[in-house]
Amino acid sequence: MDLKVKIRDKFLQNPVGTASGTYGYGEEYGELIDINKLGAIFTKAVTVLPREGNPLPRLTETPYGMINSIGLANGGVDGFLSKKVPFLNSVKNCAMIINVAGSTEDEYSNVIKMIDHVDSVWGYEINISCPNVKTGGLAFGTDPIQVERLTSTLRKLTNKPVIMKLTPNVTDITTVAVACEAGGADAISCINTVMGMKIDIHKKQPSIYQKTGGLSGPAIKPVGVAAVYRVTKKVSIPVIGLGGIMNADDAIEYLLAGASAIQVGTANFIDPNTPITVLEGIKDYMINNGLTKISDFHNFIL
Amino acid sequence: MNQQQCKVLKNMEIARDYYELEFTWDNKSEPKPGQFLTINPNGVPLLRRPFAFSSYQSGKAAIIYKKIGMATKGFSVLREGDTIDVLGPLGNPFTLPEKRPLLIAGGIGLGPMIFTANYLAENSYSPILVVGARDKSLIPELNLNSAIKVNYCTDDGSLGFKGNVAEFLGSQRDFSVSDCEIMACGPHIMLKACHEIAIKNNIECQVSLEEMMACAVGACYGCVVETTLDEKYKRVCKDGPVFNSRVIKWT
Repeated sequence: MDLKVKIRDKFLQNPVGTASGTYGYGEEYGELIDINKLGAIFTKAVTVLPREGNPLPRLTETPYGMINSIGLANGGVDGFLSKKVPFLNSVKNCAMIINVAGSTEDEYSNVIKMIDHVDSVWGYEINISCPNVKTGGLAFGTDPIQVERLTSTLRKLTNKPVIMKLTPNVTDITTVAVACEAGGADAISCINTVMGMKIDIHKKQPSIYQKTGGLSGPAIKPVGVAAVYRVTKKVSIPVIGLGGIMNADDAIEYLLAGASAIQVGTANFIDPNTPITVLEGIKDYMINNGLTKISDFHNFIL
Repeated sequence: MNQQQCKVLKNMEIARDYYELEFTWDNKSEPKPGQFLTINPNGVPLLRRPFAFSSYQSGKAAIIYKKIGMATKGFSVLREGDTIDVLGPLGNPFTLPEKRPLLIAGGIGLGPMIFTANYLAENSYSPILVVGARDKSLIPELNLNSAIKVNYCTDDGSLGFKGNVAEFLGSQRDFSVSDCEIMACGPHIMLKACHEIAIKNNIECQVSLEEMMACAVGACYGCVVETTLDEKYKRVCKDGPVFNSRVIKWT
């Protein structure tokens, strides 16, 4: 059985990763599971300068999901290089894919320029979709022209894989995906959180400070599966599926829809062992269904 | 910290809507007073729920929880022999005090303060425990070390002092607050009052905070609290839940 996933000229050892913002840089969860078994960790977003994040409350729970607006709290490039890289260097086998966020093209570029020399950085996932930061990604991710330009700018800065992470909060996600491929993206992550809102009817106020935030969890899985299905029909680069994957069955749905890899996000909060059980479940499914490689999943749904 | 499948040993209503849940505990990580755990509610609602340890002895641990929402309603029907998915111990414990410990427990903050009081008493401190609640039906019978001096406060006067814990501390007492060090867990407004009493008496005050959490291990930055430090937000789950009250920006 071949579980490897090729992105640009590199391979993930298997198709299971952890979604940005749910797993830090892996160190907290390293106490609980063997992260070297994972295909990839998509890290918490790195921005050029440190960000303290949004005021409270940042989280609320909704039926079969949660809404967050953390505000990309992170230590900036300096914090990343001094505090996170030593841990990254200790990880074997699992690809460390750095999620990059910014509010201008230069900010995205500068993050890559400043960290590209780090060998343990496997590649980049570009957050053009975070709906939380007013001055941030939303404008990039919703406009195919800007997306193509940003992709092509970043593509020229590095030899490492550049993965564009799409927001579902657009009229037609496939047009943005096509723009990513045209700009030279090596892969697409699909989808980021769905914009959501919850109101406390007793306080007559939104449940989180930023009023709206990113809905994640099982509630959004059908949105993600549909997006992956539609995007994979329009692009030939690999698509990494995410959104509400709670178990192996959910991950298999994404693979059957056309994904070449998947990410586990909110489920990490509920059971930190989920990525491992998902990986085991994918292997069992492949054995039981006579599949020998990940692309075999793509032969069923046309 | 580790994730373990624990067997329920006991799950009893000990006061109105207050339950004590006792379960097996793998001794390879010993919980300390002030630390917490999360329990997987297995589906609905989605996220794990955090609770402070209320006791630990070799091979078993317990929490006290209030039946208040979907998750705790689900926990309230757990029976001996059932399995719960527990992650812990999480967060930082209380720091051992230098002066006489004055422990303040409000509402469901009782659990960690019982653990702390018993632990301190076993380590040759003479803790004072002040337990506050709306009325006596919300105060369980406590299994406490005899070295602990207990005071009750109820809003309606149905048990002990009539009034809240801050009013109690401001009233005539047989101990002096300024000779003590406060350790507290309870509602925000009570913790803020404890902080103000500590400032007024120029004594130390540690507070254990509660916040909505997603990961509970420090990864998601969902449960932060605003501080007076350069680092504007600290994580309740990883940097806390116990904080020096002077670090917190009280609102």
